This record gives sequence, structure tokens and C-alpha cells, in this order.
Amino acid sequence: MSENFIRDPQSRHLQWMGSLLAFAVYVFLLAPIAVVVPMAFGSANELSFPPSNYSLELFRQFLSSSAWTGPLLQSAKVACISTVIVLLMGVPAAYGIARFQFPGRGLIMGAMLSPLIIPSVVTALGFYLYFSYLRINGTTLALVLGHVMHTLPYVLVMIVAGIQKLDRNLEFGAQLMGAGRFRMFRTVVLPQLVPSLIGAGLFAFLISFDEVVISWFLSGPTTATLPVKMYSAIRWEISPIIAAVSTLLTGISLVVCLIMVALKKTTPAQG
Amino acid sequence: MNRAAELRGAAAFVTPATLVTLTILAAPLLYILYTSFEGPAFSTRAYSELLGSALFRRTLSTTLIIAISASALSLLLGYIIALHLARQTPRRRSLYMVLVLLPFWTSVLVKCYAFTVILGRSGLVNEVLTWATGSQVELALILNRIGVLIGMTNYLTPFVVFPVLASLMAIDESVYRAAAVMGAKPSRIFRTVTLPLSLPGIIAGLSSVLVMALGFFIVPALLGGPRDAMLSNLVDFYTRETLDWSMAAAVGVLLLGMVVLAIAPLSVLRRRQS
Amino acid sequence: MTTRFNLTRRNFLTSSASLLAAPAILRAGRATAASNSLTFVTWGGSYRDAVYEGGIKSFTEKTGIEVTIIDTPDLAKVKAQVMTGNVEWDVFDAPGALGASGSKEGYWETFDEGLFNLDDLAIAPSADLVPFYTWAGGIAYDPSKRGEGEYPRNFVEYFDTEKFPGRRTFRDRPSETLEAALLADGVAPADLYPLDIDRAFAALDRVKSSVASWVGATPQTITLLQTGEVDFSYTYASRVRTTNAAGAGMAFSFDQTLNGLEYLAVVKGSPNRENAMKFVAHMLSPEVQAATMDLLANAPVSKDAVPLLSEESRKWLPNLENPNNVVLNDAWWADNFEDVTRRFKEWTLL
Repeated sequence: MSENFIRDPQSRHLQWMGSLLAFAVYVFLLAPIAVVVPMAFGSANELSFPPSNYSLELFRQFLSSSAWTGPLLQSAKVACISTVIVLLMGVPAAYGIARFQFPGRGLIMGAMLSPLIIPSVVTALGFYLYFSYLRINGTTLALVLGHVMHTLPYVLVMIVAGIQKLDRNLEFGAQLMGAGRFRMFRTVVLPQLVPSLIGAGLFAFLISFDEVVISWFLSGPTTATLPVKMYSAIRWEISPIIAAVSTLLTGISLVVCLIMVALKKTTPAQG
Repeated sequence: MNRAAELRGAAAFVTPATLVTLTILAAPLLYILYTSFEGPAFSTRAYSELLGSALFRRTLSTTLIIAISASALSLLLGYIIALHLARQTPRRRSLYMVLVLLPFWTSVLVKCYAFTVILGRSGLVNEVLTWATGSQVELALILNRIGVLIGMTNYLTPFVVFPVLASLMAIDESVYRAAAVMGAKPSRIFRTVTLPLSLPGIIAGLSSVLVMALGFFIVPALLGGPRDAMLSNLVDFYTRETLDWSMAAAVGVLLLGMVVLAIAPLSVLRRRQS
Repeated sequence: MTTRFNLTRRNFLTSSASLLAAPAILRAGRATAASNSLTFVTWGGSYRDAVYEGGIKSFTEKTGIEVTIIDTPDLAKVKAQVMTGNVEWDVFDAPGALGASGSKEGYWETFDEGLFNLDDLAIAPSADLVPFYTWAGGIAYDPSKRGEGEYPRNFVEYFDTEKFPGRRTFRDRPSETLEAALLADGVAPADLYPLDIDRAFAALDRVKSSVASWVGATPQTITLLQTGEVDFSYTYASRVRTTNAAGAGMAFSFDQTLNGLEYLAVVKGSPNRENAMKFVAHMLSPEVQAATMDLLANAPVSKDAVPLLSEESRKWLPNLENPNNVVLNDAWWADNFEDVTRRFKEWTLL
């Protein structure tokens, strides 16, 4: 919509109203971040906003308390392992789905994408009951398996989109030259997919790192992830350290978000 | 490529992920169904007990009320933002877009914690009101329905912005010009052009937001009171508090059924478009 | 197709079969490793700090066994762990009703012979429960918020929402809560048991709308008060005292209290059973009892620990002489805890 067709004063007036409303909504959307970040730099003994003096005290407390660093490392571990597994599994699957027609294709895709619409609590309950039966509840393995299934649909969607933008003739060409299917995949498809791979990997990492519900059901006392620890902390204690943790999480999200935006810019095919 | 080679190729790429999906995702989901019927005993005890339980009926209506109102609020706020974004030049649009993307990427836990600070009894809002009115204000804004709706709307609004913006941008500008030339007032243009033409975006946004809202767990647990528990929280309750796994599973099955119903309009729309 | 990845029908089938069988292999192959650690579930916040300072620290120094401290003992979680055979907790810090009910359900390990010095213990342990201390629960408030006399000081007043308007807390379990309700409804302390459950729920119905939180994690009984989210709170004398040690200035009413035994128990199938036994014995030794109870201001079970308590701590000890006070009947709860808990939890959500 350009502005040139709006001339009369009434529409100008309405437009101002619209912008004003929109800014109010932006404020509402950003309020949580705007409050939490300054609090994280406040002092340890107050729970008020804005803080009266600024320091890194809360971050120091956060990083020196094993009750918080344990879950932080656990989250990093689970997110890294799940990301590697989900890429190893999801990228070939995305290629198969994007490039081949076969019976059951829709069904398989539907099953893999289903965590996108199934409420996480239902998936989490399924994992909980099933992993209880397998006696792996509370282990890092259980968390990794849960996170792999939870992140697979996002990886699939992003990689399929990436593959569909590739020139298929290069793949045919490589095969005509005698390259086997997997060699062709490795030498022709994967190198072109690098931006999508980085994007999907970051996305999977972030989703796993932030995931609460599935981890809440699957983690045990020694395997709690950072979001699980944070969930119980918000529920049961009021510690200003949570502000520091929140800022850390927001920072990670922001970095991942910026990398993704940058990746989009370097891929001319994406509009 | 001939048919057999095509099949072999597909199998080679898709098989590992498919097997993992079957064993680690499909099996647990079927296991819920199995558990909800008490395993090999095959009994409908859990379902009949649920339907007769005042707690379940109350939670069901709470879930519907909260999910529908939060979706409606998000649609309203999301539409306002989408309209604003659609009106910007591409450069400024991508700038404003960051203001939507940043909250979109923010963890729901961070939002809940922030809202306990903002909306608590001696939180920011009450402090400002106390200062402004000169008398002690202690509005109860969290641990109740208001807190849940604020938290959920904040989380869901960006999910409305994207599809609505897409359909607003798809509207041909000449339609507006034609309407304006014909002397239509802005409110009328909105009613007769903008709104109907952005309907696909509205339906897509609303449907996906409703699906998410039905399954909310963290926000009602952290910002709601005991009576704002939603079906997800009931699943957790039966799983951990009373350890009646058949009941938990039955609630899960019913919740999933509701989500499938909520997503139906979206898939109908998709089919019509393609 | 000549790569080594070539999928023949046979190796496709065998690899699929092994993947599909993986769950069964997992289920069979899980063993517990002997360890140099144990997991202790206890009540969090300032209490957790006191137990750590008073006993856990010296235990780790003495034995080299690392103690993972988990907050908020929950019998449902014990049941889940025992049911799934996936026990993660070793030692459980159990208020009377939970301890007795767990004992009846068979959730605890039998203690080793000769683990305790029976001469020193004022109350004898049973086969699977050893008393840890006696506590006092009652009403706390922030005296800076209102004038004298505007706070409830006994349970009749705590349930009187007309005379004492404001938001309140209760625990998220029926034990203590139902006793408080019956006291409020006019039952004499001596006539409480067997509890009239329906009458208790009827009394609770009348205050329900003033209850801001059914508290699971004990630290919340006091933090909600400190942040002003509630006006009065059902909490514990020891909790108020340890919080006040950090300068909180909260008040606790000794006019009427509920008093109970706290037990230690070792969870059935505990992965670190030997360590757990050593730990329980350590927590009951006179020095540890004195150090811990001096911080908590709960009544120690070790007779030798009593004279070691400071004058200041004695002021906070449970008073069983006061006729308004109640001693909880663990035997009654052993038979009723599970059923009443289910009814209670569903009722709190309604």
C-alpha cells in the first residue's frame, strides 16, 4: 500500500490512529524484554524495576552457582547432541521427500511433521509413558530423543525449502557422470545447501535449548535443563538470578535470529 | 529414472528418519491411546470417569474460553501490527519487523517471569498506578485469568502478524485506488476491500493460534491461579499428582481431538487454494 | 548403484529390525552403577541452607560422598519412581503423614540393624522411618503491613475472611490443612481424630476464594508473604525464624500451632542404598542434630542435642503443653493419606 491515494484529512487522521495503536502493541510485545534485561544488571538484593544501581553481580551469582551452571551445561549438551542427530537424520530425509515420489510419502511426511500441531504436552506425555516403560526416563538419552523428534519437523521444512530452490539438473548431471546417489548427494547437493544447513542447525539448537514442556516431563533431578530449572524457579522461588538467566536466553535468541537474517540476505534465491 | 530406481533412492534417504519416527514418535503416541484404555484390559473407565468429573468439565470449558479469547485478542493486536507493517516502505518494514521478530524468538519462560515482575501485586503496573493516583493500588493482575490472557496474547500475537501481513501484501494496490477514486471512505474501504481480501491470512493465523492456545501449559501454570488450569495442566496433574496415567492419557487423547478439530478450517482453506 | 551404502533387501531388513528392537534392548540393558553420591530430597530455601550447613557439609567432608539436594519431597513422585522402577531419590525428608503413608504403601527401605543409637533417640524409629525432629506449623504475617490485632492468630481467625480480609495460603496437601479446617470449624484439639473429612472440606469451601496459593514448595509460604502476594500465610516457625535471620522481620503466631514429626526415610530401590543409610545415621548424630536444629529451631530427636541448643533457638521450639495446639496423628494419615489426597487435589483445582 503506498500513501499516495490517501489524501483527505479523515484518512490521515485514521492513519495516525492506526500508527498510534500499532506502537502501543509494539510496546506491549517488547515490554517483557525491556523489563528483564535492565533487571539482570541490577543488584542482587532487590526485586524492583528499574534497578537503583547497575552491576554484573547477578551474572556472577548465576555462573558461580552449580544449581544453575549444571542445567546450563546440560541444556547445551542436549541441544548440541540433538542438533547433530536431527541434521544427520533430517537432511537426507528432506532430500528424499523433496526429490522422490514413493508410496506413503504423504503419510511419512505427515508423521514427521505432526509435532508441529500436536500440543507439546501430549507428545511429552507419550514420551513419558513410553520412556517409563523403557526405563530411560530422567536420562539425557530420553531428553535427546524427545528433542530430536520435536525439532525434526522444523529441520525438514527448512531443508525441503532449501532443496526445492536448487537446480535439479546438476544432480542429474552428476549421476550421468557416474556418481552414485550418495556421492552425488555429498558432493553436489550438500555444498549448495550450506546456508540452509546452518539455518536449520541453529533453529534446531535454539528450539531444543528453549524447550520446556517435554524436558519438564522427561528430565530427572540430575538431568534438568536450564528451562526446567527456570520453570521451577519462577514457580517456587523468587530469585533475581532468573532475570540474568532470562537475559542470557534472550541474548542467545537474538544472536540466532540475527544470524538467520544475515543468512537470508546472502542467499539471493530467497526473496 | 525408472520406477524401481526411484523407490530405491527414496528408501535410502528416507528410511533412517522414518524408522526413528516410528519407534520414537509414533510408538509413544499410540502408547497414549493404549494407556487411555488401561492397556490390555481395554476399559473405558478413564473416559467415563472424565466425562462424569466436574473437574474435567470445568477445565474443558476453561480451556475453550481461554483459548478462544486469547486467539481473538491476538488476532486483534496482530492485525493492527500487520496493517501498520503493510503500509511501510520495504526498508522501514524490515526495521519494524524486528520489533515483532524479537518477541517471537523470546522464550515463553522469559515472558512469564517478566510479567510476574510487571503485573505482580507490588509490580510495575501497580507501582505506576499507585504513584499516579496517590493511593495504594494493588490490582490482582497475575495468578488469575487476566494474567493468563495477557501472557498468552503476548506470546501468540506474532504468529498472527506473519500470515495476515502476507495476505495484506498480496492485495493489489489498484483495488484500493479504484475504491478511493469511487469516493469510498477509508472505513468503507477497510470493510469492503481490506478485510475480505485478507481473510485467508486471518483464517490461517487464527487457526494456528487457536491450535497453539488449546495446548498451552507454561503460561497458565505460571501466570494463572488454580482455577485457570487448562487441559495441558490437567494432563500434568494426573501424570504427577495423582499418578492416574490412564486419566492423563485420556485427557491427552481428547485434547488432541480438539486440536484436530481446530485445524480443520485451515486444511480446508489450503485445499481450496491449491 | 555400486556404493557401499547400497541397500540390498536383506541388509535393509536387518538394519530396520535392529532399529525397531532398540527399545527392547534399552529396557533390558539398564543397570545402576555404584557411585560416590546420593540424592536427598528436602524442603528448599532457607531450610535447605540450614540442613546443608548443619549436617550435609560435614557428611561430605567425612565420607567424601557428594549429596545432590533436590527441593520439595513429593510422595506422588516417589510412587512414580517405584512404579516405573526408575528410582532417582535416595533419602526422603518426610513430614509425618507422608512418611507414615509411604511406609504403609511400602515405599521405604528397611533400615540396617544397629544404624542408630537407640538410647539417644527420644522417639524410637520404626523399621523404615526414623524421626528427625518435631516442627510447629501455624500462621505468619508481615507485621509492617497492618495494625496490631488486624492479623489472625489462630485457625478460627485464619478462616474468618470477614474479620480478617486478605489473601491466604495453605499447603497443597490434606494433612495439616484438614486439621486446621476442623479447628476453625470448632472441633476441640483433643477430639480431632478420626478427622471428619466432609466437615473439613465444607469449612475449606468457605475460605477457598481467599486462598491465593496451595503451596507445594515450602519456601513459597514465606516468599509470597515477603512480596506482598498474600496477606497471611500458613507456614512453619522454623521457616519464619530462618528467614528472619536474613532480616525479613516476619511474625509467627504461637497462639495455636499444628505440631508434627518429621521423618527421614530411604526410598525403596534407592540406587545408593549404602550411602543413604550412612547419611541418615549421620543426620541423627547428636552433633549434627544440635547444629541443624539450632539453625532451624525445631526440636531435635537426639536427647544429647537438646542442651546444646542456644537460648534464642529455644524460643522458637514447638510447645506441646499449650492446650490449643495439636499433635498430628500419623497413624490416621497412614490409612487415609492417599485417598484424601486425591480428593483434596481435585478439590483445589475446582
